[in-house]
Amino acid sequence: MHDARLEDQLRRQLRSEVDSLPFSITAEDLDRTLAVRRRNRMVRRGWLAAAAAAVVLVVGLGAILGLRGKDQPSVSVSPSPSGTPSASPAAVGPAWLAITGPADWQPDPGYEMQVNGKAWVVDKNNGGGVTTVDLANPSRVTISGVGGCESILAFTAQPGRMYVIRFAANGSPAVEDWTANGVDSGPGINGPVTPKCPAAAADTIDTPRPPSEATPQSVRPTEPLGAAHDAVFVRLVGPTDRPDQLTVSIVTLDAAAFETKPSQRIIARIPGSAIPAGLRLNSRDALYAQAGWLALDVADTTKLDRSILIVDLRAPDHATWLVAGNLSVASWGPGSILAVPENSQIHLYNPDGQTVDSVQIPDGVNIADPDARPAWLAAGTGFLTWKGDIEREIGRLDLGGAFTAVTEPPATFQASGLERRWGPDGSELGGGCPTEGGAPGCSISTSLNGGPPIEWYAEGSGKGTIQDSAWDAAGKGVWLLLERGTGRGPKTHVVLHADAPGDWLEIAGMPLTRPSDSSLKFQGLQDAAATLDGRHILIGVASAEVQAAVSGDGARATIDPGAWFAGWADDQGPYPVR
Amino acid sequence: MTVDAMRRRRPEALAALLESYGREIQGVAYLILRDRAAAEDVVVETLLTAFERAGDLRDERALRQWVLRIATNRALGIRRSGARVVRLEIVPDPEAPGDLGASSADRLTLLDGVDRLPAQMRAAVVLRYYADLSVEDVASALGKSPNTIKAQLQTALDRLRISLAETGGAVPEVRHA
Repeated sequence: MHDARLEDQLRRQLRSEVDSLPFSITAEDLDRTLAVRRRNRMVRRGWLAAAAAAVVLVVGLGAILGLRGKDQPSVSVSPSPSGTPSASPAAVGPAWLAITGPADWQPDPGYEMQVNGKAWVVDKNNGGGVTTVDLANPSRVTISGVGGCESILAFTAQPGRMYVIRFAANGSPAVEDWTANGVDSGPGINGPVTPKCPAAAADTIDTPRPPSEATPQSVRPTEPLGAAHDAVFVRLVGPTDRPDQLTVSIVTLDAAAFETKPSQRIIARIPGSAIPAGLRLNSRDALYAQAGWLALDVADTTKLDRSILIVDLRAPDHATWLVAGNLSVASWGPGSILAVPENSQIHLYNPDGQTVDSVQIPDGVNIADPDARPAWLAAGTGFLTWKGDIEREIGRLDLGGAFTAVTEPPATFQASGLERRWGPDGSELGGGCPTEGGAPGCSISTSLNGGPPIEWYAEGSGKGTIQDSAWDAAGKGVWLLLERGTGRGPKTHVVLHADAPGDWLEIAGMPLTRPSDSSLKFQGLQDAAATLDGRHILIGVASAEVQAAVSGDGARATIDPGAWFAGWADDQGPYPVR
Repeated sequence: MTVDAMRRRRPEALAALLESYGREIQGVAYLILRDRAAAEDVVVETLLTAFERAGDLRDERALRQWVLRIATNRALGIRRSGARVVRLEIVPDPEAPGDLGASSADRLTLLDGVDRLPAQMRAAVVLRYYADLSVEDVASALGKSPNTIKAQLQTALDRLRISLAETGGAVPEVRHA
């Protein structure tokens, strides 16, 4: 057949193939998606503005406070950076009380603050603010929920001091002593009004503490909550979308774990109320940061507006941060900063201080494949990136947005072991299948910069159908997960490893449960250890529970059902291991 | 459709983009990915990207090529990320009227052959023979030289011809040294 005839035939058949496809996308679909994108950006800007406002509040209005101090010499203001109350109980003067909450805070039905028989109200129409209360003596301040008049916080305010009552996203309040920092006169709290609630019994007492941003005593520990061979698992208690609780546990995967059941300890219990009202748990996707943060995938009921709920596992009942973004494309870096790509930017969320930064991705630079997570450089100084979709130019993108081409892929940080983008020489691991339904023809191959593929495994060999594959820790060998069995008969799932194409060694075989519409996946890889029994592989369906933990010598550990893998508890070392 | 309207973020520009290029983007993405849902995702992502980044387009006359380039790169990206296992099926259809000279078996063989091509080569084939871009435009879309694209297309045709011959669909061209 001559080229012209073949070309003509090709044109007609490609078009015929496409002509049979229905086309259901509407302009309304586009408008809606665009609106969601813009709303997410607005939320981010809101956070940035809030962060900037907080700086102004502390720095600028501290000066105002200083002037007031000159006018009111009788007010004793502690110079102590700790903010420990030091005013004399006999001092007479105003106490400054501020109530604040997360960005866009609209508490509903709201809260009532009572002091000496007067009340101030915050609700969805009257958000947080500041008020002053003249106190002759130390006085009780109580916060009650308007709905049921339940007392949720009480503390003793000293005359002349400044307090910030801060509500976390999950509705938990805490009181901070801001006397040493200053509080803006700001918008007033709605009041005073006649109390709706009876004088609250002080059954929930909180001691004013210094603001967390300002004092050395409150510096949050950053050491990991477990060891390198510990896996962090998350489990749900109660309904899947609005659970009563999420438990976070550490499962120790050492050699002993593969002889007996691995030891397990719960490190945090996240109350279901940590998920803000109106949002639902969107998927079983959870990412653990080694400084002790957990990121969860949440969304509104339409599932169009995706957000990420960051929980401090050291204070899971009240320290949460809700940010806009899609967790399925996010990744924690070695500094426990969460990178969330969106269009031409990567947003960097640092929950320790709740700061947000953004990196502009230069034109033509790819940060990750769609629906894949960006790979942080091992040093946390940027990301592994590339230019070009056909012939790739691998490089680094630093946090200032500069792309630098490199000859070999730089070492990358590993939170789960699945961040292995290329081999050390830039080779890509991939595969494909023929088109005949059910034909055993899929294969796994490597190729260097779009060059000819080198086949590592072909289903035609009869060893099984491919479920997943991944580079090993050195990037020189390949892990492979196969399914064996035909028709409706029993299936066996086999883990194999090869140091060279075709040189497969079976590690372990086991029957696992695979839904008809999903493949089994490697969920976590920890295989840099020198000994086989120090290498661990977690297997399950993506965004679902771990079904098996296999060690490099073929042993299996039993993992309690219902646990999703969120990451390794401590540093795994960079990929590739040298 | 004016690029100016896109740059000004005029709401009607998005609908016009969809009208002008939506179907073609779907075709390109589907032929690369062989996944209808993923192809629809590519359509949405491509159109929104084009709408929001119209300021990046230097030559307004190249809007179509630019949009197809975005779509192709998106599709190839998805292909790579999901490339661990991609199961493809083609169900035989009755022969289309007027599809003279192409039996159902030939059609399956040809489409099967296209799917077996390396992703980048397949993208070149799709842009050239489905979207009817010139070799120069295909090269521009894929960031390669026209000579490279010519070589890729020739290799692709050779492979397709062999596929047809192996199934008895057509006699391969005999080349003499």
